[in-house]
Formats: sequence, C-alpha cells, structure tokens
Amino acid sequence: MKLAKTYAFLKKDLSLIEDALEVSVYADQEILNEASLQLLKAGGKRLRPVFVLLASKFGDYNLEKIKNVASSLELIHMASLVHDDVIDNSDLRRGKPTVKAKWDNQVAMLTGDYIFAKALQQFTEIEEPRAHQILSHTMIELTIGEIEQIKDKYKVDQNFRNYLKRIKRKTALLISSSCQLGAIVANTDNKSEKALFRYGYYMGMSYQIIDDILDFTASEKELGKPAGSDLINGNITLPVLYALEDPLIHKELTNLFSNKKQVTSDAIKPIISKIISSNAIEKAKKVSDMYLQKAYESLQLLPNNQAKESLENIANYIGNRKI
Amino acid sequence: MVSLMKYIEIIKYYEKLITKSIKQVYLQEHLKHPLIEIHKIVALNELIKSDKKQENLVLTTMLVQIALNTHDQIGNHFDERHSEKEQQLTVLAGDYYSGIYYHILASNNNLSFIRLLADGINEITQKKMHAYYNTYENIDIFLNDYELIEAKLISKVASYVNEKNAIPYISKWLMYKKLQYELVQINNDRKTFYQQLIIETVIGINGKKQLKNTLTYSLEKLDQDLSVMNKHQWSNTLEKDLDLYHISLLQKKGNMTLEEGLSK
Repeated sequence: MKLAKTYAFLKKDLSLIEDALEVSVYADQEILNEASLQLLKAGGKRLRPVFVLLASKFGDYNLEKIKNVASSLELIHMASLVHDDVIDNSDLRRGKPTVKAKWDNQVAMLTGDYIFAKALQQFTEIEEPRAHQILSHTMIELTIGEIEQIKDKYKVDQNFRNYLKRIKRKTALLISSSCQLGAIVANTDNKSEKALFRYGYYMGMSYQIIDDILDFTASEKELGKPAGSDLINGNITLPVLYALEDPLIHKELTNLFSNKKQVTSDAIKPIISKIISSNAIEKAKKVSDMYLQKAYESLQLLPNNQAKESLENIANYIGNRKI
Repeated sequence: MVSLMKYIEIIKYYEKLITKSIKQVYLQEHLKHPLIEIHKIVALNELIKSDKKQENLVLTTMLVQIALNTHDQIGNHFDERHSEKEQQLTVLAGDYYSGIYYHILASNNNLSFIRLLADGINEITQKKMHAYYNTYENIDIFLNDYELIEAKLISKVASYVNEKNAIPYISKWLMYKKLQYELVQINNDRKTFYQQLIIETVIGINGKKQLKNTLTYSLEKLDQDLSVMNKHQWSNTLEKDLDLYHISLLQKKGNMTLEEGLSK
C-alpha cells in the first residue's frame, strides 16, 4: 500500500494546503522565488501537514484555521532542510539538486530565513498562546538536536541514550508537535491531545530509526543520495551503535574515524558491509518496532473514526518500509 | 556627558541580557560571541522608551538582528580561516537565536510583535538577495539599498510604537555609524562581510585603498545629510558624534574606567 492511500480521504484538503504553500513561498525577488519554489517542488511526503489534519479530525475541523498550522509546520521543516544541506554540504536531496548546489550557500541561507519568517507570519494567525509556546520550544529543541549531532560526530564511544535524545529533538518532536498542534487548534479534549502527542512522538522515533537503517540497506536510487552517507558524515546511528558491540567493527571504525580525511566512500564500504551482515540492523528494527507498538497503544485512547484508522495505517506503512 | 554615561549603562545592560538569552555551551565553546550592534540597542531603547514591554522588545529585535548577521557569515566557499565545524555551527547558531526570539515573545504572548519581526525578516531577506546578486554602478546606489536593509527592523519597530517620523533620521544615523565602524575595521586590517560585499557588487571598487577612499567620501556625504537634519527631533537624542564603539571597546579592553572615558 502506498503511503498516500492511507489518508486518501484528505486528498482535497492536502491539495489546498499544497496551493497555500505555493502562495506562501512566493517572493517578489526572482532568485528567492525560484529557490523557494525549487525547494517546494522537490516534494516530500508532507507528513507534518498530514498529521496536523488527522489530529484535527478529533475535534472541530475548521480547515481555514488548520491550514495555517499545517502549512506553517511544513515551511519550518523546509527551512530546516535547506539549512541542513549547507551544514552537510549536500548536493542532492530526494535525487534533485539542493538549493545550495543549484545556487550557493548564501542563497540557501537567505531562502531558509525567508521561509522560516513566512512560517511565523502564517502561524501568528493562530491566536492560541500555548500553540506558540509549543512550536517555539520545538524549534529550539530541533536546533539543539542538530548541534548535538555535530558535537557527537565521529565519536565512536557514545551511548544509546544520546542517540535517542538526539533523534527525539531532531525528528520526533516536530512530528509530535504537529499532532499536538492539530489537536489544540481543533479544541480536542485533553485526553485526546495527550494521546495524539504521544502517538506523534513514538511515530517520529520509529520513523527516524527506520531512516537510519535505510541509510545502510537502501540503494542510492531509493535514497536520492549515496548510501551510507550518515556514516561517511560521522553520524553514529542506532545500527552503528549495535554493530559497535562487535570489538572488530569497533576497532576498525575507531581507526578510520581517528583521521577524518581518510573517511571516504571507498574506505567506509567494508565497514558498511560488516554492519549489514551483523545483527545490528535487526536489533535496530526491533527498537523501531517497540516505538511503533507504543504508537498503536496511544491510539487506543482515541475514539474510533476514519482519522484513527489512517493514523494506524501510517504506522503500519512506516513499520513495514522495506529495509 | 550625562547621556553618554546613560547609553553606556544601557548597552552594558542589554549586552548582558542578550548574552544570557543566547547562552548555549557548545556554541560558546566553538564560536566567537556574536557582534552586538550597540548603536541599534541605543536607537531601539530610545524608540521604545514609553512601552511597558521595552526590555523584551529591544531584546528580541536585537536577537533577530544577530541571527540574520550570523547567517551573513556563511560564505559561498567555506572560509579558510574557519573550520568546517565552525561554519556548520554558525548556521545553527543563527537558527538558534531565531528560535530564542520566538520563544521569548511566545512566552509573553506577544503575537503582534512576533508577526512584526517576521515581516521584517521577510523584507530583509528579499532586499539582501537583491543587493547580494546585483551589480551596482556606483556606491551611492548600493548605500541607498543597504540603508533599507540596515534600518529595516528598527523602522518596523518605529512604526509599531507610532514613531514613524523617526525613521529617516535613524536610518541615516545608523548608516553613518555603520560606515564609521567599517572604516575602523579597514584601518585595522580586519576584513568584514560588508567590505567583501561592496567589492563584489559595486563596479570600480577593487582593493582596500579604493574601498577606504569611497567609504570616507560616503561618510562625509552622510555627515552633510545628518547636518541638514539637525532640526530633526531625533538629532538631539541620537547625536551624530556619539562614539559608542570607541568607549565600549576601550572599556572592554580594560584600558580605562567608565569615568576616565567620559572625561576624555
């Protein structure tokens, strides 16, 4: 089943959000306009808007209001991606040239700042103080997650807790906030809001772990970037942490990371093969499944409706991504 | 003299407040403290004098300014003087400062000011993109464009506190202070983003000497413009010759006490 099929009933609303996104990134300045549109047209699953819409279905579904939240969150996600590409010096995202590759770093920086400002301009249409407190907190945590990632780069000796905390900040919080903000703007009851927040958090954790697994197991074509990019960039993810329990892999990676200049795609290939043939992928998948299970349990607290079914199906889809 | 002392205290107060707000251990360990444009603190403080939320408004406007200035440091080629890690953290530092401004205003439920500053960022990024990728026939046209970038946030705040009439004077005053600052940097052989931008975009300015001569000439012109505006109500508050950088720098170096500085 394709992901979009799991929330097919939102197709019309998502299409309106897509239109709103296109209108909101419009800039009078030509380069800025082209760069913003390039970023928008690069696609993406629009998962955050989907979560906002689905969460809102548990309360008063006012699309005009919800549209602002959904598109603001996607804009914040986009702004962070365009800056991430400068940080990682990435030329490709989803198989397409990044803004920094097509133009340059400066254009990417200004485009990110512009889109971030657009997100806040839109989000301030929501006059609910708690929503702003949640979003601003999430944005700070998101940046701290990225800072922590840089701090932990090429550090072979780090623990699972570090990793989980990092992916919570980097990925899970924006997804849980999408669910929570959807609930808040639709005035759902507290119990539902809490359940939706938890669902988003567990889903986000599971999603990121699977992404980290796919970095080893998927092809370059499927990833839209070279396989093993995370490890080449010095990022120690969950499969690597498990693989490092093997003293030989630990020794080999420690040696390689002792001099960053020698960390090339060719040099890392033998280590990637060893990680794949170890039981690290399987162990990481088990952790992802555990989070997924928690996500299902959170859904049990919600009333039965079409949105709940979709949230379950999204969890199924995430959990069954081919690894 | 009294006003100078008052300004120094205000600057010190806000510098501390800004430093405290953006405190992040890892960023502090790896990046230089961001440059705080002290003339903007003074201008903002004077503009927002009668607002109860003065402190928050000055602080958050300065945080946005610092965030944008921080991102200006990201060049197209990683600067050889800085490590890759410093460049990466510089990107995140700008994002972090933006997050902090939003969080402070969200905690105070000041949605209108969040929107106002977001409008400002939006307009500044559009104007910057135009300026950075333009070719200017001469420095005057460049300075006209840059004045709008330099004063945009403060102009927004001036409108917010119903002090629109202050904008023409404050914009010129800030540009005057900006050029003074840049000339000091040139004299001390310190390269800045602004100098590089002029060399890359204005036709006919190639080296340090030409840049220095051009900026000196532009400063004289701005001096004349400000003298013509000497009847403007803001010319008494933000005096043309108010040399805050000099006093502030000497104080930081510990070369003199506040009182000594004032007596010179």
